Amino acid sequence: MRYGLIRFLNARPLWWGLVREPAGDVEYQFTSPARCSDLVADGSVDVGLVPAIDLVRIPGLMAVPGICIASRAEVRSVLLVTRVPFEEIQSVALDPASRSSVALTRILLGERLGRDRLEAIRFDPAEHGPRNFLEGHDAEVVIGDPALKVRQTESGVTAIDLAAEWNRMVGEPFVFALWAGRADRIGENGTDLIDLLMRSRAKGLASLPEIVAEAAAELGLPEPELAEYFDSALHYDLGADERRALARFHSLAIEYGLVENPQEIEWLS
Amino acid sequence: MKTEGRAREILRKAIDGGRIDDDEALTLLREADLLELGQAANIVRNRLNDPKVVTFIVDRNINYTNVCVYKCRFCAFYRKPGDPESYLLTRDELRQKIRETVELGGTGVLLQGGVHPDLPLEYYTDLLSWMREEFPEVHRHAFSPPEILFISRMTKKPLREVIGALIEAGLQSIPGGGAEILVDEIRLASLSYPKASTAGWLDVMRTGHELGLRTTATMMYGQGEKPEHRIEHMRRVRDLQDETGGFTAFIAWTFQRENTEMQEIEEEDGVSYLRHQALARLYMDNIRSIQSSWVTQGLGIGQLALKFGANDMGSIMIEENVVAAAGAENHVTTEEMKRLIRQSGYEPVQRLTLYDGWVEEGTGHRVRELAGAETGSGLNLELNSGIKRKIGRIQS
Ligand code: SF4
Repeated sequence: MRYGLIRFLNARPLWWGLVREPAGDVEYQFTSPARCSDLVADGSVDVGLVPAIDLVRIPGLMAVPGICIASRAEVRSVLLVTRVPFEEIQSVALDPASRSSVALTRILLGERLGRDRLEAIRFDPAEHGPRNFLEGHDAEVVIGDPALKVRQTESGVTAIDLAAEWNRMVGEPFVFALWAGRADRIGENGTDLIDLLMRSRAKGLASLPEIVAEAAAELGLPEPELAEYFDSALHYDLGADERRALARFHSLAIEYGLVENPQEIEWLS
Repeated sequence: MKTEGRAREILRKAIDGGRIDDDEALTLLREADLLELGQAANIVRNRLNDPKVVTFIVDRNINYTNVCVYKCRFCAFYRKPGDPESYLLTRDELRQKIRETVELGGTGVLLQGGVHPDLPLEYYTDLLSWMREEFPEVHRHAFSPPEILFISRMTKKPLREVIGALIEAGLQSIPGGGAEILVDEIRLASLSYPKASTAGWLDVMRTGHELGLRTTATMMYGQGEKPEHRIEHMRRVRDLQDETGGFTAFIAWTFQRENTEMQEIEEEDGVSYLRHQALARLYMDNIRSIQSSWVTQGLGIGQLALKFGANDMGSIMIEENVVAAAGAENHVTTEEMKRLIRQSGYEPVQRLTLYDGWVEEGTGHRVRELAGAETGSGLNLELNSGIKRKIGRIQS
């Protein structure tokens, strides 16, 4: 089985157990959320963590029920960092590593400023590699682990937590990603795969202290802050609220023209 | 004294990240003190690769046929078509060999043969797609430039089309064999010119790189050529690497004479090997990995080579016929390989064919860290350095 995984902290509890499972023929590719869903789409991996938005974009997918990465609170996983007041944003640099956050940014700006105003805002992919933060743009979307460090490293900018904004706007959690694979690869042994991924999550959640300690060393952030991140910001089950939230997000994304050829979500069983 | 000073100056330049030219390389080969040369190579090696880690691979070299239309003078492996000792492996034999490879924890196979006159392009494409179907997880590192050139000549199809068809069928990378010394004068004398001229060999690699494949580069020296020729060889490889960036590693080994026609040639010794490998590390400033050829040098020199610029021990050699035919029969188990690396003072890491991932100790899972895993964020954070450290990024 080939898995596409994301190293971001918020995803770690989901694959923590998986990579420790003494299973036979297993391969992992660690990559960015955007690339991860490309790997699933083109069959380079059998199952991977797919950004929520791509569930309705990629044909032939099956999503794993019961598990997701979601948040009901300030999560700091998707930040819109700006140095001008919200209403004055003219240009936004987007992180090409992420797709859901790109969609979320457009939707929230559209809902807050009006959809017509959205037309006037320039969105560009952020350049890779070292450069000056916010150079050439009024705002920038920062996702994943780098977002955790924004508060520490930047001053004179405002960081808007987009997932929290979403919570406020729709009253539902925001779902970042789910496990999904191509139907022809995972359709047959669905329950085995669901079991395996559930076990992996259970092990991950039971190992949070270890995950936190490892990440604190890697990211250079204090352990309590990261422990808090897991305790209050994130959750990992996909229940009725999350499904409603997903449906809402997808229909808004379609309304905003962010999904060309919308697909129905099929659930693995 | 004076010349020694010049060699030192050149070494210092290389250590400081400067590029050395051909004259300077020749000076180093002739005059540099062995230990100073090794030390400089070691410094550069530690800059380009994790200083604590030595990588190796578990794979199998499958020579699917020993039938060859060519007669390279340094080759003890080939048999003429129709020779009673000639063979072409059957599907069952191939399946058996690949299965054994997987059972031993292998992650790939290197498929190369003699250059068989009667196999159509479909033979090669069928072989690849059969493998992809039956062993999707086994990396297909296959067909060195002489084989690919032959297919192109035979089918009258341009290289780009042939390599494109091979990729379509499942080719994942091209081994750097058949390079020997990339100087036509030398190739003519060894009778290896007809199988691939210098330009022909380089063309296959260039085209492969342009089509997105990564390949290795090799050098086999000590067949009577001059040091200048070896440096010219390295220059041709370095130039192409400047152009495409497609080479993952450079592997040099010495001519092995047993059972070949070239009995008049003295084999190169271990000190010569260490000098050449150290020089290669310094000269090839644009290729990340240098592989130690313990298969031709023996395990002792193979280990020492790690202090002379090598960062990789190559394959455990589940099977190797070409060099074995010429009297160098060496293989080790994975455990022995790890022990050898540990005793040299490094942490052993079992890597994958493209130097882009590793096999996790304990679980045996294959792990890849794809380029592009970093985000576009301008905060320029060094994330996951502990993990990236293991192998280092493949060059982009
Ligand atoms: S080196 Fe290769 S091409 Fe030359 S004779 Fe041997 S098998 Fe044939």
